[in-house]
Amino acid sequence: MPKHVILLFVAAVVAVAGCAEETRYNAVLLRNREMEKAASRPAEPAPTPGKPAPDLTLFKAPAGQSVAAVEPRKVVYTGSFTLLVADMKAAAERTLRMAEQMGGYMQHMTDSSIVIRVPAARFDETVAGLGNIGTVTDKEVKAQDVTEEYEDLAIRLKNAKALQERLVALLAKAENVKDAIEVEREVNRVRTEIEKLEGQMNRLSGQIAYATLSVRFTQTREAPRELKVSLPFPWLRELGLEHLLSIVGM
Amino acid sequence: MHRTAVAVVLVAAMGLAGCAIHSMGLPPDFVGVEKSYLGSYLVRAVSADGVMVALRAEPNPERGTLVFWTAAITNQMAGQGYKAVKSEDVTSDTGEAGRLLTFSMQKQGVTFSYILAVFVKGNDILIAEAGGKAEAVEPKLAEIKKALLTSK
Repeated sequence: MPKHVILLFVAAVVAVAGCAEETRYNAVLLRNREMEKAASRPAEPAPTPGKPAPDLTLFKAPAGQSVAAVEPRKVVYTGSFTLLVADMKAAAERTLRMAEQMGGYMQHMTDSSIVIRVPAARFDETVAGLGNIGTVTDKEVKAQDVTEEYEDLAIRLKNAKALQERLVALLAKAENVKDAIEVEREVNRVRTEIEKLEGQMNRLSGQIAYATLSVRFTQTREAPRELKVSLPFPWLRELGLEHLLSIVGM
Repeated sequence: MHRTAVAVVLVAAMGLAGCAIHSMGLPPDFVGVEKSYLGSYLVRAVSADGVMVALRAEPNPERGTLVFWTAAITNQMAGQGYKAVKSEDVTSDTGEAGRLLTFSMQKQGVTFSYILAVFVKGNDILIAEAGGKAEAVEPKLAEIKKALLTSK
């Protein structure tokens, strides 16, 4: 097959793939807009952190169109907290243990801060748990809806993989080395694009699956102790909860 | 169980305190600890959720007054970081005038309650203590106070 025909074919395949991608992307946008119109309400706010996204499967599609199963929204939850504690190191360790009990893990830790990741479904519970470790003096919680970004990546990845398959089939039919090299170059380009898209998908999926909480600890400042009077009755120093509760592990 | 606990205390107190015999009743659903866990206490008992009650008797040969010992104990607790919540006059079941002191303490974000009933009886000072996590103490508070006032 003449070289210029091969090149024309490759160019046509790329153009068609791009058009198909755009057509599919536009279909997704159109579906989303129709969902919003049919529900007769403003754009759906991001779900409450930690709670499952609202079930939209009952909306009524416009006449003549089938109701596609509606996926829950994809949301990335993040939180930033400042905790007032008596012992920063102990508080950091308690926070780490709590994250592990929630099925999460520590991402970063210093003497006065910790970044933990917990399953998104346990975000609320983890935030409440921080209140048991210290006094929350500052708090910021974000819920970022990344549904469209996620769907866009999924579509682009699917199209790239389909294009790769077509190019590999074309490579098998190349009649000479020059043509083969041209197609191979295109296959490599598409493979690199696929790897890039898969990396982006994995990163986004990870952010959706696991919420990120950054906790900064500040230490309570004890008032300067006045010179204490110590009476000559040693038993006075045995009073208090530490002694009383010593056998139950205070 | 309650009577057994009191009886055990009486026998122990006779052995430990010589002539003076001191005892204290227990609130419902508190169990006395074994002798090896008494330490410096004459009575020591615990609830299932970790609230403790205890009785100690300390010598008072110079006859310090109830006012003196109440102030000394209050100052001692303040020095250890306890927050005074309440201080009230009480009378024990045997008619002794005493003082009931209530404190709170924060530790690692958890609130604890600490209560003392102080009585001056002859050459001894009786201090009945109770304490634990505030959420565990609160539902039992009335019964605990009642038990502390049985100190004699």
